[in-house]
Amino acid sequence: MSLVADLGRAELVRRLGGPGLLLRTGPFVSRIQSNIPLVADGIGLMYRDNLIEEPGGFADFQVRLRQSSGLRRWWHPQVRFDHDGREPFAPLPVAQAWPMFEWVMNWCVSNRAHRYLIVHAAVIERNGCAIILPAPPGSGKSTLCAALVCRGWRLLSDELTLIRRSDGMLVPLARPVSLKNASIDVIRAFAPDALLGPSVPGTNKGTIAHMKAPATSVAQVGDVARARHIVFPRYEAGAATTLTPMSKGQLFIRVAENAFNYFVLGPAGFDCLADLVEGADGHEFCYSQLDEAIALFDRLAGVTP
Amino acid sequence: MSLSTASEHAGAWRRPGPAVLHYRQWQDDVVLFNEVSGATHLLTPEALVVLQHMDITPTPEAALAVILREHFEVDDATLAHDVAELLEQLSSLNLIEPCLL
Repeated sequence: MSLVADLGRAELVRRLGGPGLLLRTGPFVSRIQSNIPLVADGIGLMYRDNLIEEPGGFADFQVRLRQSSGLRRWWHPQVRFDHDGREPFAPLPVAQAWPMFEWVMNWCVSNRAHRYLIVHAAVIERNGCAIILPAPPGSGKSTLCAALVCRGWRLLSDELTLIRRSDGMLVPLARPVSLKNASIDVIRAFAPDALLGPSVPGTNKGTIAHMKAPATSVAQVGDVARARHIVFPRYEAGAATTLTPMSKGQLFIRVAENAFNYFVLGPAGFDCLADLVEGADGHEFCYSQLDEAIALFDRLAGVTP
Repeated sequence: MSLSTASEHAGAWRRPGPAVLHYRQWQDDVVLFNEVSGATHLLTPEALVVLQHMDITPTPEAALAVILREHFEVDDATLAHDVAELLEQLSSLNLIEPCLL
């Protein structure tokens, strides 16, 4: 099988504009069709280490991002997402095509992949110790996740934690890390070698830039992990680094609140989440200094300085 | 019997319908999934014992004090009030309903 990087720009554009690019991300294959150069640029840069399947193969998700036709092609051009003939999102300015692509890829998984319990959370792993970071927007989750990944932690996911219902293992879905507003410059300064895409201002989440997932994380697509800790991060300017234990009951409720499909799965979701909570320690985590946060996470993973 | 609140009701209580109790207990925390409503609740071990008993048979309110005394160290001075409060909570969550014996 080949990688996106093996295709070359011309073939990438041809597939996206024609039969579709069959892009593998974690356990999923998406057929992506788009006539928008920003989408081709983004895939070529951010997914260059991802496997692709041969055209005509099976895809879990059908993703079409098209530029509006008619007058809209010239006057305030827009991007539209078409999923199996339906348009679940309102059109956005075409300059936001790349963030929209990432949101669409998240939407497909969180709305369709119910063989997993899906939690709105980052997951990283080091030394066999996987840590789940559930958190609402603005908590500093993605900033912390990006910083950990830039310091040797494996990225399983920045946004969607996939918990395999059959055995509770965490299934990798290493895709770009979404950074917002001030976090973009924080990570640029913290890890100058990190590969960040262009900043896109004016989205409904502010300015967005994506950090490419490390090639090693993308390559470990089949290496599942078991959650040892579930940490709810909260960035607070000037705060001391503190880790506060949570009771199992509190932990269960907080994770359920952050799950996309807990209510869809019913008793099976309850059992899956209870098993996850049973095997992991829960903590509230407050931080302001990334280096201190990373040192603490390294200690959780048993990494000696 | 017409519907009544827990505080107004002095008869027996039962679990509604044939729904299975899905729960996990970790020390003083019990999480329970209500199959009927799809809601998840964080409860106490005392609540779980009461629900498990009502799952077997409708239970008069007066018998609950005896059941709780069998399982937990209770304060007799507040027990009647604690039972009433627990029934109020479980009733408001639609986990129990009044019934005739």
